[in-house]
Amino acid sequence: MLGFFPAGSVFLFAAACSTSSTGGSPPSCPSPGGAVQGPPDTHCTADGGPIVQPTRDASCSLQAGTGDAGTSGADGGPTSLYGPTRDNAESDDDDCKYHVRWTATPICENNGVTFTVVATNKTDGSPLTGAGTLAEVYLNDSHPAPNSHQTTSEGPPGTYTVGPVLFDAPGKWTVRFHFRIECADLLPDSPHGHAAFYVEVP
Amino acid sequence: MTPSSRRPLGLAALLFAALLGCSSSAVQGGPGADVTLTTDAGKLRLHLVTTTSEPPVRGVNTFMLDVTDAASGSARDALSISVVPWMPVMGHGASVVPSVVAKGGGVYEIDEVDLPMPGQWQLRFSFAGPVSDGAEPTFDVQ
Repeated sequence: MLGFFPAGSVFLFAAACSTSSTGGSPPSCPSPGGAVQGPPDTHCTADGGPIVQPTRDASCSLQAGTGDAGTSGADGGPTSLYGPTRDNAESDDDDCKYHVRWTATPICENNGVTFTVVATNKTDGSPLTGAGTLAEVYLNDSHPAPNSHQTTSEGPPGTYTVGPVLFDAPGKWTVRFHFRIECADLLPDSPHGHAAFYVEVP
Repeated sequence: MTPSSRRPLGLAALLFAALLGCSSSAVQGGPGADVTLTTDAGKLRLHLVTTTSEPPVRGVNTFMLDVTDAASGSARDALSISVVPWMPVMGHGASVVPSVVAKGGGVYEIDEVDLPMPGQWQLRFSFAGPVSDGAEPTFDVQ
């Protein structure tokens, strides 16, 4: 059998099948994960109508020291003001400013994943442009995603490519997209926004 | 804490003092990884530096915290330390809780410090045990 192949090809074949993370192609991803499926998000709906929080650029530039929106947890420390992590690949952001939907390249362990995020203003459905989107990623409160030199690009307007994201363990991860990160988030109508989604990694 | 294991921390401090043109009592709020301050009640002196000797990065960081008694200058061990990363202008912090490991000689390793976005961050320290106090060193993440 080996007579059909040059001797070196055995080594090359073995190398191609390696799952080493030292370089080359990413590990194979036969059964990718994805969004955790659940009931549609309705947190920006009340009495049958939408809840919309308009934003104001003037509320972006509040500087450090002008306020502290932190609340105290049981241990006296600050607690996050984020909304809950949501199912599916589409929802409104925590404060009902933006609508967010996402897709991703195949989601597997240690496979650099690129997210495509489409954000629109809930006030008029227009694309949320210039949002400087980034992804905060963690498995649980003691396991963040490893550093991966994540970058973001926009195109077409309101559509953001964010990645790579490395999921270094299987499980139910949280991916929180932040928008307009240059803005302070101390006033209700700040353009800063955030929406978190569960992502299942096999 | 052996002298040899303390050496990297000291070298990092010297390097950053040289790079930033700061004295050993660098003020907090500076651009880099090297922060020295006294705790809120004045009981402890803290020196915080990243293990990479580089400014904190967006993402996961590890810090070394050197704690000494403010009055005597002696190393402070056996402290129970909790730390909360916090962004004052955002009103929120990080979703990952850093781990704290005592290394001896008043040095504590603060690991899994996830700083997911650029801007000004605080590490809100609470000290308990032989000394109760708090501190909020502030630094920038690019």
